[in-house]
Amino acid sequence: MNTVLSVENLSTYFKTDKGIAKAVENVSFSLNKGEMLGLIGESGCGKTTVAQSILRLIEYPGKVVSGRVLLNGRDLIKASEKELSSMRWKEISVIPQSAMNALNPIFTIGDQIMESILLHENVSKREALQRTKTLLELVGIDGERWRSYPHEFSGGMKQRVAIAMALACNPKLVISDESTTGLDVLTQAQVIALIKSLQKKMDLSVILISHDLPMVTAICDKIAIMYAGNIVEWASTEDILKNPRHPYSQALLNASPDLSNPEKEVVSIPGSVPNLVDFPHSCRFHTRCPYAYDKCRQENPEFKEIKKGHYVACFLEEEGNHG
Amino acid sequence: MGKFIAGKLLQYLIVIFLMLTLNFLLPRLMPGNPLVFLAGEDVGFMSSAEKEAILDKYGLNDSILEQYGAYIKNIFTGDFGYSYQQKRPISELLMERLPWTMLLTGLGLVLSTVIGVMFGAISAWRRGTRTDANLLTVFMFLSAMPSFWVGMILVSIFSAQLGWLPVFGAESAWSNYTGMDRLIDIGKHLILPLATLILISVTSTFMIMRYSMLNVLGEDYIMMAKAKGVKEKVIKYKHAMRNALLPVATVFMLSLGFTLGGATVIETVFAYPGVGRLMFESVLSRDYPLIQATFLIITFSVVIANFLADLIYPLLDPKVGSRNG
Amino acid sequence: MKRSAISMGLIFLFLLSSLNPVHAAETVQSLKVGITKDENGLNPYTYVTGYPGLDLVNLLYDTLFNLDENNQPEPWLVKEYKVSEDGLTYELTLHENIKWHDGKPLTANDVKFTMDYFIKYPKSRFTNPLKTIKSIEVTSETAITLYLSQADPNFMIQPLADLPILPEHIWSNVSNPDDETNALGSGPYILVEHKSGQYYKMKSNNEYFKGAPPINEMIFPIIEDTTAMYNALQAGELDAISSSISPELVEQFSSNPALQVVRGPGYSTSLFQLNAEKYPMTETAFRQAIDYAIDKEGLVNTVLLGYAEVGSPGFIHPSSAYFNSEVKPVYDKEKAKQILEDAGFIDKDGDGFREDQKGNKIDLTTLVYSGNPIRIRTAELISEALNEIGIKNAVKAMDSTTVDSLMWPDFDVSKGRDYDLGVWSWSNTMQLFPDRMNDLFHSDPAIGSVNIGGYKNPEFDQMGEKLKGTYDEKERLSLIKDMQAFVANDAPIITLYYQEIVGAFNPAKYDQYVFQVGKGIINKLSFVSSEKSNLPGNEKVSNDSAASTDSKTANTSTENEGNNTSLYVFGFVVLVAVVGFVLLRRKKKDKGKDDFGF
Repeated sequence: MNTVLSVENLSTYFKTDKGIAKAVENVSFSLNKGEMLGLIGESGCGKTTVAQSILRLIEYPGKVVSGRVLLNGRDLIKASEKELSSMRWKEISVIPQSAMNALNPIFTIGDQIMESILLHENVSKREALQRTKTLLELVGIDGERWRSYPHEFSGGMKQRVAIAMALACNPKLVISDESTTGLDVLTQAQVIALIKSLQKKMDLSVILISHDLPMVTAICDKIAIMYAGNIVEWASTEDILKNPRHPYSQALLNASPDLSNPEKEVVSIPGSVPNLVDFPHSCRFHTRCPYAYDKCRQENPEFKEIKKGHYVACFLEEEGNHG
Repeated sequence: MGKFIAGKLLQYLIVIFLMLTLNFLLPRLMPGNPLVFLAGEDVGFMSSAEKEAILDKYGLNDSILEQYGAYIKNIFTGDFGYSYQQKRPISELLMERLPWTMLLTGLGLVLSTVIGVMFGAISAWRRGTRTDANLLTVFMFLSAMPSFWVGMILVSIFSAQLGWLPVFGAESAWSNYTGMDRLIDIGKHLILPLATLILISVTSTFMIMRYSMLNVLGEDYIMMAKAKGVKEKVIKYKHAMRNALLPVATVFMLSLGFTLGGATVIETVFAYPGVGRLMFESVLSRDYPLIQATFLIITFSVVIANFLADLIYPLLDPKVGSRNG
Repeated sequence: MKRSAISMGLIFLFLLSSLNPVHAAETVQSLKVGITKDENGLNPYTYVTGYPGLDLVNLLYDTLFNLDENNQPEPWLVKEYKVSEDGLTYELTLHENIKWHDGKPLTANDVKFTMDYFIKYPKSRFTNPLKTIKSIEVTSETAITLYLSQADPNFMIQPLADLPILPEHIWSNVSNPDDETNALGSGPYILVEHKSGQYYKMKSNNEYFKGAPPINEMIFPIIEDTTAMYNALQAGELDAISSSISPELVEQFSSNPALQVVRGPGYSTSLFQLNAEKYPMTETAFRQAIDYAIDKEGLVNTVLLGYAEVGSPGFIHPSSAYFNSEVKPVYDKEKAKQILEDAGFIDKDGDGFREDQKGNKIDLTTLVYSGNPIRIRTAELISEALNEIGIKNAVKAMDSTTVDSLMWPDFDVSKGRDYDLGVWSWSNTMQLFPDRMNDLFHSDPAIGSVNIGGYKNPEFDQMGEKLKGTYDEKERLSLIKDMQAFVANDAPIITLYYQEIVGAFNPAKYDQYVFQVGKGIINKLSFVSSEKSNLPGNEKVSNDSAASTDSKTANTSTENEGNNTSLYVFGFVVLVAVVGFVLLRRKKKDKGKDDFGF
């Protein structure tokens, strides 16, 4: 099996003044070597929380309450601090959302990249510097700019620096958390192309978190769609595009403009994301679902494999009813 | 860079000039004059002619413009004049008091900053825990206490009751200690006023540091550092601390300018020969030359501190100051 | 048998000695006396305060006569003297072998020089009394005769018992006396060091003509804050202090077994000053009503806690030989109201406050120095009393320089005044000469130099002028008594109280202090060797202590406990706080992270 990452029934809750917010509930998916998975969903659906849970970055008042995250067979959730710190960056790294703030303003980018190298590999400073320069070249930045401070770069360039940093220790798995959000379209395209090419070159496994469905469908092998803390559908990109089973997936596709078909009507989804605090037992999407019926209001559907490699959480599948 | 300094210098010169003029005007706007201090307690029995003679002697009967002219001239010649109250050259007076002032308030500033930073950081790192709550309570309590009250309590316990520490002064002046003995004596005299000063001023640094650190901890780059596997201690002290210290550094440098002004209340309670008490007395006795001299020193000191802050800050925070990119 | 008798005797003596307060050693090595102000150069031109500044000057210099503890002049530098019947000629003979601190002899020439010098370079306190001298004749090394232009009943006090004698061989070269710092005199002590703002150090003049002083070294630390000074005394860092203990603290000092407290009459006169130039204070009835409205005894008990004597409405202190005992303080609220009603100060509009005789509203302000809590409290109580009888007024406390500029602008009564009422006080020199009544109430600014109320009454002026020309003691006495009666009735000011002086010192270090009436224990007599009578306050205190010496140990322990209880309570509270802090921290630290409930 070349499964790099296997997430099983991951749940992360947050304690708030108003009660317990079940930000991530029973999330399961997996990633194979060399694969790029797109994790899609609206703002606040829990995508970043999933990423942070995987990386064990969740802190009070949040907590990972159940589930397993197997990275090459080792459970990250149960790993000790010591094991974790050796795994961090070497096995799994992250390209953060808004590299604007993810780079420490008072250190040079070279220092920051070297730091990650020196932390995990037993090399001399000179070697680390050499590698840093190489990494920078890799992402299309002049190697001599290692001396520069983050504020001296544009948004797009900072993103590239972040990519370079994420690759510093040759990790197996890279999580790209909304790495292109906030960039202009052209720069977005550049960055995405860069990630794709690096993935191919270094045989990386990547989780690409985004809310931009068209972009994700363009480069990802598989797509997992999240809504209100649950994964509602998980399948190959082809399957999602051709045969979306979950009403939400369908609605998402309808809501995205299509450049090849400018006449297509863009339909928004009525309603808004539910309050995740003390959510009652029901399908989380039922209030906005055009097909909801009583069962949907009473129970939360199970996440089931309906076809090989195609998972959906919807009662409609059971009944066989479909539109 | 040269242009930058020149521009700043000009700004500061204007500020200084305005301050000098205010320095001159304000004391003279107060009702009353220093006659009783110039002439002594029996001033009531002097004839008008005698009193006028005294006022003439000190130039107090000259027109405001004449007095102002003399004032400005004296600044340029560095002539601070004589104190009305103490009948001594002011430069001598200041020479005596400034070192003690710097010792007390300077050391007080440094120590209270260090302590405030330490506890502020700890409080932020342990946010939400009892430690944080307790520290907040303690420091809030400290900030509510008036300085003279703290000073008096300390004196009455440690000096009057227990006799461990001396009651007043900067040293046992008439005992003629030398060398190490003298240092110890000065140290003993310094403990209580210094402790009082630290207790009342530590809270502001604590609060700034705590808030700043909390801000920094919430930043993405801290999470990045964690994700990278940087050890917690390193994150705290290298990544977070240096960023969080920036506002503290600013406040420190600005406060530095005011250290030459002494700490009037504490100096009074402990009879510590500093500039603060001197200023206070000079205002009460309308000792114009002394008022002018002391305020002048503070003005310059604050301006210089500001200037230094302008120069140093870019070194601490790379985002500030560089015009390129 | 013999041995046991001896030992019994010894034991008996031992017990006896333990009953008496400990007496200090004959010569004291070093004595630290706290003062509150730097006195500049301690010479007659540059000292700052009348007390204790001038007293320190008098440790370095000598006067021809000296005021004893009852403020009566006794010969000092002078060995013998003769005053002519008409009071115009003073023949003085000095002691022999009086030396200046540099060894040169003090002669009659120095005396003449000093008197001429003060005329040439005026210093009002010393110069003015010299003005009656017509001529000075030096008749020998030690003899001098002064010829006055007119008889001056106070001549012995001022200048003879007040003027410090300067060394001619030094001051003849001084043309700028106000800037002079040398303090070389003939006095019992020699100035060794002056560290500005910090202390003065003096050493004993072992060649002093009256014998070597009992203290080898005197140090005067300058502590500007009175509370710090009290603390220093309590902590043993000072052996005596120049400030009087404020009433609310006397208890604390008395109960300290290491200190001795003495109290005696003070001459500082606190009064309620009226601006007699401004209506309605111009009206005698208005002033009298104010006099009747103020409960002077009440003030003494409430504000001064009994440490004061009720003011005589004639101003002069009861201990003075010129005191008019017929004149008594008044207090009658109803009478005050009646006087106002009869005079036409009626509340017509029913707002609780009276209008003046023309029907205009009255709203007065009482000024008071802001730095003195006792004065402020006095002002408040008086203000209440006046409000009660229908005179609307409020208290305004401001810094002394500002108040001075309003009540006594430029310290010159001819420059007018700008106030209604004020709580004021005159220092003790005002009580030294009954002739001060003239200075206080005569309407001519040249005579009434401290008439800060602008009081103008031709009848009084007449009395005053008569006094100036009267030399006969009996006539003077009767005239001064009349003046007191007049003032008591016409009420230009209302004398409130004479605050007592409460001194404190460490008897184990030195206890030969002399309480000078109106001044206190820090004076020349305390620090020179001579026959001394018991301290007046001493009787009181040692009586108490003698009576309760046995219970003294019991008392001391309870008092000690009293002193220490607060310390223990404080320590306990701190301990509880620390323990609680630590325990709570331990407990909750872990819980904090897992406090989820799921």
